[in-house]
Amino acid sequence: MNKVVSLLFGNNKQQSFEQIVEPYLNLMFKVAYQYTGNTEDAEDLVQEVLAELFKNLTKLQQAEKTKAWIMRCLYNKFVDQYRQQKSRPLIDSLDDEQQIPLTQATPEHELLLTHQQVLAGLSQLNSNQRALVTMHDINGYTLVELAEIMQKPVGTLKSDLHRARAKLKILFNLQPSDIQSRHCM
Amino acid sequence: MNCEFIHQNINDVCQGNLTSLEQQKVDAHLTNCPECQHMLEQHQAYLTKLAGLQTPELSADKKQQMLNKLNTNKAASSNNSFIKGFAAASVLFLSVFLFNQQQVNSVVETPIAQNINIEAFTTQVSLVIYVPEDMPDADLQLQIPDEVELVGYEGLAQLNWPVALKKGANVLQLPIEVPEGVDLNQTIQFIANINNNNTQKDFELEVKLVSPQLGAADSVFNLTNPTANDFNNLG
Repeated sequence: MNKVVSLLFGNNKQQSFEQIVEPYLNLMFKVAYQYTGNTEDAEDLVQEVLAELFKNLTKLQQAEKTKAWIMRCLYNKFVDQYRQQKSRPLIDSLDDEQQIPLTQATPEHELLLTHQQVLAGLSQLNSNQRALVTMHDINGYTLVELAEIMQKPVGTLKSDLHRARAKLKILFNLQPSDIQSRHCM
Repeated sequence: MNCEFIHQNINDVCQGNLTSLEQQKVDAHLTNCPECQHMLEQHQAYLTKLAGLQTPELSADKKQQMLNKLNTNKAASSNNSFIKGFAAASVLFLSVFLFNQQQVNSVVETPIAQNINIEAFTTQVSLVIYVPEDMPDADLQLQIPDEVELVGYEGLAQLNWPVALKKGANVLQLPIEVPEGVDLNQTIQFIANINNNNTQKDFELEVKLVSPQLGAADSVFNLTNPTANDFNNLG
């Protein structure tokens, strides 16, 4: 009956685009930043995803799992961009930070270095691995949820995650920007 | 409890997301398994490192700016629709006009030879523009076909025409001169470009030449002072 009423009179309760996406904007930007590694690219990515969602407003309004739908769109757009910009380094080199004299190292410097070290490590992963680590190990999504977002079997994601973690652990230990390693040198 | 459980649930083990029973079993396993202890220490360091990734906040202004940008694009898209509507209306008008003239031709049964005009004449092309809002700074660029001249601007191949469009119907009259010897059976083509706030669109307008004898004034619509009804009829 509701469907008939909806067909005859339109669904007045249907949410506007802003009402649907606004609650997810912070999350979209956060994940976009973790994907891309810098604010400008993250904003561009979110803007492109919003445009894509806007074009598919009807589908978005009908989506049963809005959050998963939006995160899938974000992931797909990121992978597309990654393919197009593969040759471009996603973040700046750490060389400048390595020039800070150790005597001036403060807790703030350490936090900044850790932040940049993580970005540098993530930038060494491919788009799929980066998305997996970001979503699973930082944002706490389960592999089952990620299988829905990334449209891949859980088993594939599990082995990809294992490889990505192994690579990151090596990178984190190797990087000379690690304060403790530099003290030891 | 075995090593496999810890491997499979390593994030939960590190973050203490186990039930009390699972935690007890894990603790018991770890006391006897240095490999798992080492692996957990490494993974804990890895997760701690990842947690050091700081994410900037998206400001409320930036959010609004992003949503506004979509609305701006929507408006631009709506402008494109208006231009498409404009082109459609113009072409439709000309089509109706031509249909009318072809009917006249068929009644008179004019031989083809007589459709070569023997003397120059002038006529007008009416451009009908319907816009959803005032556009005071629109630019219309028109490429004049080789077969005709613009009255007062002989030899001019392109006309740039700043137009102030008002909400609703706008009619722009274009006086053209058809030189002698031009085949009236042919269709000539105007290429037009309209630009409003950096949104622009090219389109083609096909016009069939009509001599005064065939009664251009018999056009089905009086578009000098168009009414809303005229434009409903135009499509």
